[in-house]
Parts: sequence; C-alpha cells; structure tokens
Amino acid sequence: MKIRKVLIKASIVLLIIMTLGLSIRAVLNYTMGRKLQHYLEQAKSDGVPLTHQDLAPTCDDADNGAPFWKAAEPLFERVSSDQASLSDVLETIFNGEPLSETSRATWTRLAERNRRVFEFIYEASRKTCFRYGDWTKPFYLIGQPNAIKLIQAVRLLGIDAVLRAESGQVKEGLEQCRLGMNFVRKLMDEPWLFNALIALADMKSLLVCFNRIARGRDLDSETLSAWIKEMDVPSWRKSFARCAQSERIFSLEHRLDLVRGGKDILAEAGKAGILGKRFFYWLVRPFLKAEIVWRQRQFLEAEQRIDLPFFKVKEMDRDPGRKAKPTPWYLRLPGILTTDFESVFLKEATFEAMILTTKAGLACKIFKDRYGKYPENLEALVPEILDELPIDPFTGKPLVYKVENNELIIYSFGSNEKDDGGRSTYAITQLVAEKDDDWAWREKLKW
Amino acid sequence: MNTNDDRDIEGLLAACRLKAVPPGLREKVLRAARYDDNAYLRWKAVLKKSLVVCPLVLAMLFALDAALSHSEQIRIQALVAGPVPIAADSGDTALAWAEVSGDTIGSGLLIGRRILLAQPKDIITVRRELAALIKEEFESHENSKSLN
Repeated sequence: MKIRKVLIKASIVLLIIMTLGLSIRAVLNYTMGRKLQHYLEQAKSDGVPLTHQDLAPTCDDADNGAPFWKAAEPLFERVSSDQASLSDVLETIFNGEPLSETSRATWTRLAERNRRVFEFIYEASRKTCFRYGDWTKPFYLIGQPNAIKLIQAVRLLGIDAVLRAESGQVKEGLEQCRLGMNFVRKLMDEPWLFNALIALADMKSLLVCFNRIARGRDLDSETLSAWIKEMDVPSWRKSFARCAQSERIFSLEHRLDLVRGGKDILAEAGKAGILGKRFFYWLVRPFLKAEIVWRQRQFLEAEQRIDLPFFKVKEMDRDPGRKAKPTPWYLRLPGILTTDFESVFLKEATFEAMILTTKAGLACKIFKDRYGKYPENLEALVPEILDELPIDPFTGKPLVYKVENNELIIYSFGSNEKDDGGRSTYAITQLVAEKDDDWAWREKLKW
Repeated sequence: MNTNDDRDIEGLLAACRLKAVPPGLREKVLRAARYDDNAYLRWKAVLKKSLVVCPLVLAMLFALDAALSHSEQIRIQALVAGPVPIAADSGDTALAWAEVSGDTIGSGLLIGRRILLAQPKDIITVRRELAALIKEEFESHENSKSLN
C-alpha cells in the first residue's frame, strides 16, 4: 500500500517536472524560431542565396556535358587493386622519373580499354556547361557523379596523355590534358563542395601530367600562350566560392527539413525507428533552430574568405581582434560536424600554387623563345607575357625564382611557409607538411 | 513463566519511577504533529491539483506548439522559397531516343558518335536503358574483349 502511494506521488512529481521542462522547451522553441525567422529575413534582404535552386546550374540540355559523363560512368573499367596504383604512377611522373616498360604496357592497355570513356569526356568538355543531377528535386535526391570513377578516369586520362606525348604524340597528349582540364572545370558547375574537392584532386593530377609533358620540351609560343590562359586562378576561385555557398545552403535545407520533421530526411537520419526520431527531433527543435543560425553565420564568414588569397586568410586568423567566437555549450556536439574550411582553403591554395608556378614556368619558356635567354627575374615577364607578378598564395610574396646547377626553379613555399629549396612531395599526407612541401616548376636550362 | 520471574518484573517496574514532564512538551509535540499533518495535506492538495493542471498545461502546450510551428513553417517556407531558374525537363531524360536506338542497333551506334540532344517532344527516359545499351555495345566491340 505504501509503495503504491510512493509510486503515485513519484509519477505526479515526474509529470510536474515534465510539464515544466516542456514549457521551457516551448518558450525556447518560440524564441529560437523568431531568431531563425529574423536571420532568414535579414539574409533574404541581403541577397544571400537560401535554396539550392538559387545555385542550380543554368544549363540548357543542348549545352549540357553531363549526359556524356553519365554514358561514360558505366563503361569505365576501374583500376583493380592488383594493378599498380594510379598514385604510384603519378608520383613517378611527378618526380620526373622514367616509367618502366611493364608500367607503360599496363597503363597503355588499361587506357585502351577505357578509350571510349575518354571520348565521352572529350565530348563533355566541349559542351558549355555541366548539370548532372536533377535540381528540381530536394537537395538529397539531386544525385552526384561517381567520385571514384571521376578521379580514376581523369587520372588515367592524364597518364595516357603522358604516355602518348612520350611516344612522340606531344600535341595529342597536350590536347588530351586540355580537354581533361576543361571537363574537370565543368564539374564545378554542379555546386557541391564535394565536387570541388574532386575537381581539385583531378586538376592536380592533370597538372602533374601536363608539367611532365611541357617541361624541357620545345613548344611554340602560341601553344604556350594558350596554356597560360588556361591557368586561370580567379575563374577557378569563383566556381569554388559557389561550391562553398552550396555547402551552406545544403546545411540550411537539411536542418530546416529536420525542424519540419520531413519523412524522407528522418529516414536518412540514423537507424532508430521513425517515431523515435520524430520525437527526438521535435524535442531538440529549439536547439536545431539555434544551430541553424549559428552554423549559417559560420558558413557566411567562411564564404567571405574564399575570395581572399590564402595568406590573407591566415593573417585574419592570426589577428586576435578577428578571432572566431567560441561555440556555445549547447552546440558543442553538432559543432564538431562543421565543415573544415581551413583544410579546404589549404587544398585550394596548394592547387593555386601549382597553377601559378606552372604559369610562370611557361612564361619563362616564352621569354626564352623570344629573347634567346631566360629572364633575370619574374618581374621581367610582366606585363609582356604575364598580366601580373605571380604571388605565392602561402606567403603573399612573389614566387621564388632561382637558376641553380643549370636548372630553373620557380616555387611556392607551400603549406609550412618555409623555404625548402623547391623540394616537393607528391603524396603529402598531412595538411601542413613539416618539410619538402614546396610546389615547384623545374626545368633543365637550354642555352 | 513462574512466580519468581513475576516478582523480578514487579521489582523492576517498581524501580522505574515516573518523572515529571517538562511544562509545554505536550503542546510542542502536538504542534509538530499538526504541522506535519498540514504539510501533508497541502502537498496532497498540490499533487491533486497538479494531476489536473499538468495534463491541461501539456495539452495546451502541444496545441500551441503545433499551431505556432505550423505558422512558423509557413513563414520560413515563404522566406526560403525562391525562383527556380532551371527548366522542368531535366538533363537526365534529355536524350533523343531516335539517336540512341536508331532504326538498327548496329555496332557503330554511339561508338565514336555524339549523342544529340533532343527537343522536349522527343524526350524519353533513357538513362538506364542508354547505359545498358552502351555497355552492351562496348562489350561486344571487337577490341574490348581482346584487350581484357
């Protein structure tokens, strides 16, 4: 009898606590909802894109290169694990070492088997835009290209271009690289940050292959000038900024869907039963709303930095007045899953360093072609060959230009911002490598 | 129990003499008991009221939350809804069937040829079919087997 009484009392106490808790939740839900609405109103009046349709690639079907890649995807024969890895071959190419006969035969065979895929890539690259997914659908149903195939196909295309060039088909090899780069640039028409990272990886591979073909080869000034135009950093960064914007929008749409308790999005969120998930997301709704506002502001801050060169971003980080506000305690857990823009910026800067060193290297070749000698310094290339002096994205200073041991070296200091004498490592496994992470253009001098 | 034992107990009881009670103790004890009794009654009343009020408050909260969330959702949707700049017909389906199938599905189909994009009237969902077709064509291509 006494236990029954205690249980009844405990239940009533629990009911009171629950009522109080839910009342607090209701108040928070209302106030956070107001804040979220206020943020959205502000963003809309500032012209900030808020839906994925705002970023959808405007691409007529006739100009769309994506159907060609869709046709290529199922045809692509992936590199199997028993074959030497694509990275190893690219490292050999990067280090300027000769490819063994066996390696040549293996990669030529695989390239031949994927010739049709390459042809589809060329066709896609000749189109003016790329729209792979269906952007009329919700963001999680848009659909993306197969990342592994994209990376492997483009790498194989680059390796094949080197093999062709080294067997005497230099023009064809260069054209293959150019078409590959055009294709990769188009990938970023689909504004996913993930696509931008794939495009970065692909462009890096193609640049390594292009450098191998162009270094030490006599190419006419016209070809070289055309290639300098290809190495366009601002347009690349513009596409990149769009991809970063999309990351913010997808985050917004995802969280708003969770707030709404959308069936499809709840089905994606974890393994628990739909009712359990619905209750959980209903309960944490005030926190979700607070998280949306907080995360959107974080993203907007990152977006503002994308237009800046990497050294300026670092300067901002070092400035104590601009130090980011600490994450509120109630958002620490979801805050862990924030996009790591720092590493994204670093990858982008590394790629820009590669582009700029290549561009400067090509300009030196043109200079030699015109004046019969290499320039005294990089300033001599401006404005006749280059529009502006190439600035190291890591240091904000001009790229290092050296002539040593009958070799011309143009290099960027890389992520560690230290002068490693132009020594580079292809497969950098850390974001900031301690040594040998300079990105360099090297060429044996021909007098 | 024998008579000896009874005598012992009586002796013991005789040894216990009643002491005088301090004045006011009785009132003090009774006051404390009354206070406890009142507290219990108050607590009981609160619990009884809570049993009625809490479910009412909860029902009100749920109703209010649902109504406010609904109107909030409408406002948020209105804020995030923007113009849709792309055409309704997607690139997925924008392949001309005539070009894909042709009158005869020969070995030359799609191999080295461009896939021409069609007008909306010719559009047909061919993504999967196209992929299968190309794969088939590719696998039957004279070079593909010998290169494997």
